[in-house]
Amino acid sequence: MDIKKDFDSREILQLVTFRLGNEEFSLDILKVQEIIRHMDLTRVPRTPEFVDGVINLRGRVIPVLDLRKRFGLKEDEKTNETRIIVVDIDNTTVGLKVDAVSEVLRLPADTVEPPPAIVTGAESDYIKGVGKLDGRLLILLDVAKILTHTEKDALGTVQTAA
Amino acid sequence: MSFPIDEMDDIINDFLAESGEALEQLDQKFIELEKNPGDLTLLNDIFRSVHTIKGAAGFLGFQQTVDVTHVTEDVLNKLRKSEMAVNPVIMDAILQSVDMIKVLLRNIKEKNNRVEDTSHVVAALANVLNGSAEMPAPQAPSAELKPQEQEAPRQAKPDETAGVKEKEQSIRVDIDRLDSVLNLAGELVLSRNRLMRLGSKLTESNSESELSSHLNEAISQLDLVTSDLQLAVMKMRMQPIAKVFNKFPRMVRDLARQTQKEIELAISGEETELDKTVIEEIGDPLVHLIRNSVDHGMETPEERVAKGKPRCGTVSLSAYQEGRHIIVSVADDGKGIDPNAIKKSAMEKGLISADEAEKMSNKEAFNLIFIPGFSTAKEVSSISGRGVGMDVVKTNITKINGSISIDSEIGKGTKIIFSLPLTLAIIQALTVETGGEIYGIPLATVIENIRVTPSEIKTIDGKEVISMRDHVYPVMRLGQLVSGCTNDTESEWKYIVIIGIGEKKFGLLVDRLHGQEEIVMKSMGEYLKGTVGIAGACINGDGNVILVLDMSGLLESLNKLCYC
Repeated sequence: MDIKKDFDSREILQLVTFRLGNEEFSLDILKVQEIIRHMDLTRVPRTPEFVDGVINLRGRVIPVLDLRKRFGLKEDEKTNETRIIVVDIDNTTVGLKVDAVSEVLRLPADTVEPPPAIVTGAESDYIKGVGKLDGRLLILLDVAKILTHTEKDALGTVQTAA
Repeated sequence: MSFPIDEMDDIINDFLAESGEALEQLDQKFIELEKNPGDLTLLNDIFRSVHTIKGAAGFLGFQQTVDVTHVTEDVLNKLRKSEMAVNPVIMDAILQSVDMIKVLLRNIKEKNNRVEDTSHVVAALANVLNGSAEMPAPQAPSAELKPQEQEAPRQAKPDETAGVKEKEQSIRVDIDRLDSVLNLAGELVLSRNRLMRLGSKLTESNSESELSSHLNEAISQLDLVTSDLQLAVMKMRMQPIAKVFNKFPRMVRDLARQTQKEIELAISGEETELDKTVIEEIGDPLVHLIRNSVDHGMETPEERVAKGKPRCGTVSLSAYQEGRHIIVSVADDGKGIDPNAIKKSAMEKGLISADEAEKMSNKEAFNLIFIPGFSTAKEVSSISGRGVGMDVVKTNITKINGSISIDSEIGKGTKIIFSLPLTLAIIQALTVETGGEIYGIPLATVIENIRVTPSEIKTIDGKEVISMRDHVYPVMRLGQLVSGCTNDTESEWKYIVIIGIGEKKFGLLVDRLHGQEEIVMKSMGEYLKGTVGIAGACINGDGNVILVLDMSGLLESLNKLCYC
């Protein structure tokens, strides 16, 4: 992936950062519709494991994905910090369950580097890049890729189930 | 066409919408005209409609449409000035040209730039103009039936003028906007439900407080208003069933001429209103049933006279509201269905055994025709009889949560009755619990509920079944169906919901029954759309999401599991 193409070097990125385990991730703020506290979910049968269920968001029914499961991390108890980041991509509204939301920050685009070659591959192409800020490493996610990928996986799971 | 089509799209769309409506009414009016040839107001009406289409088409440069409408207009003009009298040959020519106009308009809509061969239509009309298409001999029956016919149009007229007035007071609204208003109203209902629960909780905890009684007053006011609002919004989506019924007089006329039968179509209750989606879905099933009635149900005029029936057969189409359902029926006074012939045919096809046939009631026998691949017609005609159809009719009706039944008497006629929901947005559902999760099952698919002890469930060939009143139904565990796990809770009693999809029946084993609820169906969004076995979701009073099961989808996936 050519990172230079994605970011204009003078551009300032506005990111929502959140935590999964010990790692810090971030999303483009424009993709985020809102952040809500964790609420009771209704499990949906015959969906991939990382689909936690559906919630009632002010009368709308939206699916919630557990990003821990999505990224193959160990499951963790939900805490007071657990949040659902509601993202809206091409009219698809989806909630992403994360351990905690930390902050909104600005990051000059030229401090973002492409993901190290060793972690790139079909499975991790939802990583857009890695940002550096005061010695912290920040993984920039491509939300659309998380979704399209899960869709493909979901299809696969359903087929094997049937 | 040399017109900058892009810029003119709006104008053309308006033209298409208006012409389409005008043509729909034209069919109706022509049939009336044929019955009542001397009606000048009607003729003028028709003339004006055709003239308007011609004018607009000319302005927009659709030359072919102009050509066809022009000759049609000439013929109508002569009729109007009483230079010619209406006869079936002229009517055929005019109706053909109306069909051609429809084709031309469709071409315009699809922008396929196709050029239709209009010459035969134009030629037929030209012949009429030259007077070479005089009617060979006046038809005897039309004279016989005159007294009846004169009454019919008089009745129909006030209705029609009322319809015209209504139209003038209406506006066109994009269906998406209506849907979004409906959604918002639905959300308001949910908020109201939550408020009501909170209100009653508050009253429980401190019943003395003046504040809580004020609050409850306000809530009940809100309750009233939201219910009214929801109803009003639903009404906006309602359309009179006349929209579907209107195309049938023309169809019956054509079919009758094709099969050389004499058939009158009696329509009643066309002002009955149904949700737009339901209206769209029932068109095809009705076409099928009416074709069946005309082709198979109705005898030839000679046979009818020999049996002492009136020469002209009647197919009646009616609609009325009954509680929360709309009843639509297609009835004919033809030869009726012979239950024994059906049983015999079903036995020959190996669908039932001789023993079963013996025990079967007439009503059960009639239901056999809904089995895929069943057709008793001795000959296949171009109209019907290929053995596909009735099962499709049934499937289509079940799809919109409706039900269908048949009533027939040999020699007297057949009546097929649909019971349809008023709307698709709100459905009745049975809520059940299994493995700690609550699911909704559309009530239309539920036949009955029974309570059983686990020992009553027997196994045949490793598959679980339940026997009830001499019927054996396969039993599926809902928990297993939806998630594939078998962590059934141990309890003394289990509940089985008997589900009927088309002609297939099976039992669904659940832990508990919750009750019957009216629910607003919501989609689960793009992302989870297409999840097997889940039709959608709804939100219950306390704000939780309940999944609504799609029984036919579950059944399908189950069949795959069994046979793979």
